[in-house]
Amino acid sequence: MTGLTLDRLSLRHPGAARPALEELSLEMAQGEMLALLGPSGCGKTTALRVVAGLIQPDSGDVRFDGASVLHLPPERREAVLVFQSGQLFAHMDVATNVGFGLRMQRRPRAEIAERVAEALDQVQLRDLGHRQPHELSGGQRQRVALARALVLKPGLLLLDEPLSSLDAHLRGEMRGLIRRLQRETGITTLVVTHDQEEAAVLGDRVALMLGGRIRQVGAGAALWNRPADLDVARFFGGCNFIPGRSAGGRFDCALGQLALPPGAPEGEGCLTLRPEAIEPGEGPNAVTVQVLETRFEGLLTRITAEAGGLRLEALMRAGAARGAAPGRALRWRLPAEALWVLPGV
Amino acid sequence: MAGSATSAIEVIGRGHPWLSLAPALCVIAVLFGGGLVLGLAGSLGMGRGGVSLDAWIAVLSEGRVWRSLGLSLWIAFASTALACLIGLGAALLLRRRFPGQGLARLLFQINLTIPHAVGALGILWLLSQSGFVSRLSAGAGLIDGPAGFPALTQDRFAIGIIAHYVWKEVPFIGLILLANMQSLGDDPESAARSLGASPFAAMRLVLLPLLMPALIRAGAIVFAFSFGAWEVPVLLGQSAPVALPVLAWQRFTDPDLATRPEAMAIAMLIALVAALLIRVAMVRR
Repeated sequence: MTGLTLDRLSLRHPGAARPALEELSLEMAQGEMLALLGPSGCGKTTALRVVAGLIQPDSGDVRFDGASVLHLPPERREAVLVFQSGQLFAHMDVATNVGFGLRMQRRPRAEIAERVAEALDQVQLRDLGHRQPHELSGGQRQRVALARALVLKPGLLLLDEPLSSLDAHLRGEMRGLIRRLQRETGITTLVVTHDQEEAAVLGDRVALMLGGRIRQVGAGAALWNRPADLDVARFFGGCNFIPGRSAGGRFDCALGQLALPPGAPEGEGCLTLRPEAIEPGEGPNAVTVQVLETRFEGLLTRITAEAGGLRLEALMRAGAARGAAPGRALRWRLPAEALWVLPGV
Repeated sequence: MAGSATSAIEVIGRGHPWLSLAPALCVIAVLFGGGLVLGLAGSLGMGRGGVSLDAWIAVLSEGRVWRSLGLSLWIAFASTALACLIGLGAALLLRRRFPGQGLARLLFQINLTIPHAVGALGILWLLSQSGFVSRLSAGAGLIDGPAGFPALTQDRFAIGIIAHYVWKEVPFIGLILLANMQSLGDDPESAARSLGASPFAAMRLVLLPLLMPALIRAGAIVFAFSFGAWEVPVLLGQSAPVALPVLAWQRFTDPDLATRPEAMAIAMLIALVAALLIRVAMVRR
């Protein structure tokens, strides 16, 4: 178990217009599992490679348990990176792949064989040691890659989009496996993903990365419901932004006066609430809206409506969305506990 | 009609792979297969009334042929091994990013465009006893005169021929390996490094095995060429024994038409030995 500190890391790829990492700072406790979440191209994989030692940053520091590791090559760092594609060595069978790291440590053959069997057991591939990588399914390959890292009992495990190459069913299974193994081994784990749901399920905490920096770190629900700024809210699918003024637990805006949850910031700002938080019907904070458009999105229906010159979007289940047709007037409730004020926006 | 044109293309495109390959195969069958068949027929004395193995027996029982075969094998093996080794080393150096990399790659590849005969003459001018290096050494007082310079062309060990093939084929091997490395990317080695491999171990245990199939294929091409081509041994080889392709050429151009079947038999022997050795190299993978 190793604690990880990223201290103001900056990196610009040669010829790139924008830096890949910009003063990136992040702190991970020993044994923690943190999801580094961000859109593609935000620099999260670059950050992971810097931690692994495969890329040198232009400035800043990487510390394991408080000691800088920047001068150490990848093979001397206590971190193991599992690649998005698994990167199994195609010319070695599964057992040789899993035992590769131990072989590099010059462990005795018997010990390697024993620990490889144990690791394959952990990922439920007990009998596949003699297979060639090309004989495995995508999910199996990913599990072998995971076993190949876990067998080394690293201080820090780095997972780069471990689930993105799997189909939906396997993804759920693999997610459970990663969680379980992390709990059992207690290895500090940094997992990079672009998938919000994956980040929320996998991470004890989620760090959102946009444009080379960490924008917000916290429990998954906090990032969804209490975004730090407009960009964070937008990233998580926030689409309702109502300008106004917060004072004394109430928010003055084009929709009238809305009750706020306790502890909301005061002053000029922007009110935001998630589209799925809007409920149909009467109650506190109810407003009249004019339906503009409805769009079926599978489980949910997205309803765009207008109120007080503002556009509001709601996501509702089929039952709740019934009766919403373009042109009709509806009453929507904006629950106080779902409202959040972004100050000074 | 446009409709019929599309449907014809569609039929070919959707048909059995053999059907789609038919146009290319026809050309290959006629040009190469035809040549092979005619060569084989010629070696069996066909077209001279009847079939006989006389030419084959004569060729296989002749000491000169075996000595030539040995020389050709030596040339081909030595050239291929050296070209593969140096080409691999060059590719490993050239894949790193460094200032002036583009220019270095260009210089590395430039002799791909030079014809073999021209290259061989260049070697002659450079390495022969009256050549540039010899004169330079004499000028520097290292040797007394041209005769004191070691025989590097028309020599017993075919050093001039091998030097030419290595010079010519290193860029070819290097180019194929560079392309291969580019498509592999850095990730296999990075994965190995992250698992604790030193840079050298990552190269030896992960990158090299991944490059092996391409290296063997490229090496097979170099081997087949250096084993079967005659113009370089003609220019740079000694007069006896001559390389096997040169022997075939001499028999073929002999005023005595009776030696023609022997020329064909030697040519067939070259093709057969090359095909067999390449097959063995590929299967052993």
